[in-house]
Amino acid sequence: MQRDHEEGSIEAGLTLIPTTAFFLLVLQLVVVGTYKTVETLNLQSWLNKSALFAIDGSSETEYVGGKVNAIKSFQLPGGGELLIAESTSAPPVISAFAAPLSESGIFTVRSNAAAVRE
Amino acid sequence: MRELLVSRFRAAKWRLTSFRTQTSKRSESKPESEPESKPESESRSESKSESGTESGTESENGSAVLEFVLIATPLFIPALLFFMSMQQVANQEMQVENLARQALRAFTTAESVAQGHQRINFVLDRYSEMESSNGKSRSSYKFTYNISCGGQKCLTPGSTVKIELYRAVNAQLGEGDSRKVTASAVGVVDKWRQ
Repeated sequence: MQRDHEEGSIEAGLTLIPTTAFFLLVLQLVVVGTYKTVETLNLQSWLNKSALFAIDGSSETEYVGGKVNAIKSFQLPGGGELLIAESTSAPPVISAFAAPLSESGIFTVRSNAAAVRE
Repeated sequence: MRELLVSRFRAAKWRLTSFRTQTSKRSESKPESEPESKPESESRSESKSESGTESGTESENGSAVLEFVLIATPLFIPALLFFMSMQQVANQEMQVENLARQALRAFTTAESVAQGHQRINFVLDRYSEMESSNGKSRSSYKFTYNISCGGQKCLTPGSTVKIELYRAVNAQLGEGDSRKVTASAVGVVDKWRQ
C-alpha cells in the first residue's frame, strides 16, 4: 500500500521539460544582466584610466572585458574634454535552448561610459 | 418450542458473524488515522461517501502539463519581469553614479558657476545623445540635478561641492511605471587652482 503512493506518472515527469527550459532561460537572462554590469564596470574603469593617463583612445581600444566600438571626444565649454565610449559584446550562452536567441542578437550587451579629461 | 428457539439463535449467530466479517473488511480498507469503532449507521454512510470519492477522484484527474502552464506561468512570468526590472534599475544606478562623479568633476574644474552648469548640461546631453543612438528614447531618461556648496561660495579653492543627480527610468512592467534613480557625489575644488 505504501509503495502505491510513491508511484509517479510519465505525465508528471513531462512537466520537467518546460520547467527546465524556463529555468535555463531565466539563468541565461541572469547571466546576461550580470555580464552587462561587469562589462559596464570594465569599460568605465578603462575609460577613467584613459582619461587620467592620457591614453589615446583611438590606438588602445582593447580592454579586459571586450572591445570598444566607438570613442567620441567632445570639447567641454571652458576647456577639457569629454570622452564617451560604447562597447558591444556577446555574453556566454549557457544552454542550447538559448542558442537560437543568441544568434539573433537578442542577448547582445551594450555598455556606455563617460569620463572627463582635463 | 425448543426447535423454534434453536433456529432463532442460529439465525442471530449467523447475522452476527456476517456483520463482524463486513466490519473487518471495512477497517482494512480505511486509513489508519480514522477511528475504528463507529456505529453501523455511520460506517454505512461512510461507505457510500467512499464510493462517491472514488468516482470524484476519477473526475478530478487532470493534466499535469496543463496545470503547470495554468498555475506556474502566471506566477513565474511576473517574477521574471520583476527581477529583470530590478536588474535594469541597478544597472542604471551604477551608470548615474558614475555620471554624477564626472559631472561634478566638470563643474569643479569650471572657471565660473555659470560655466560649471553649462559643462554639466553638456556632459549629460552628450551622454543622453549617445544612449538615444543606441535605441533608448531620450525623453524617458531625462536628467535633473542639484548642486550644493555647503554654505560656502561655489568654486572657491578648497570648497566642497555636492551634486545630486536624478533620472527617471521606465520600469519593465509598463510605460506608466517610472522609478527615479538617484546618485550623489561630493568633491573638492582644487586648492591651488589658478
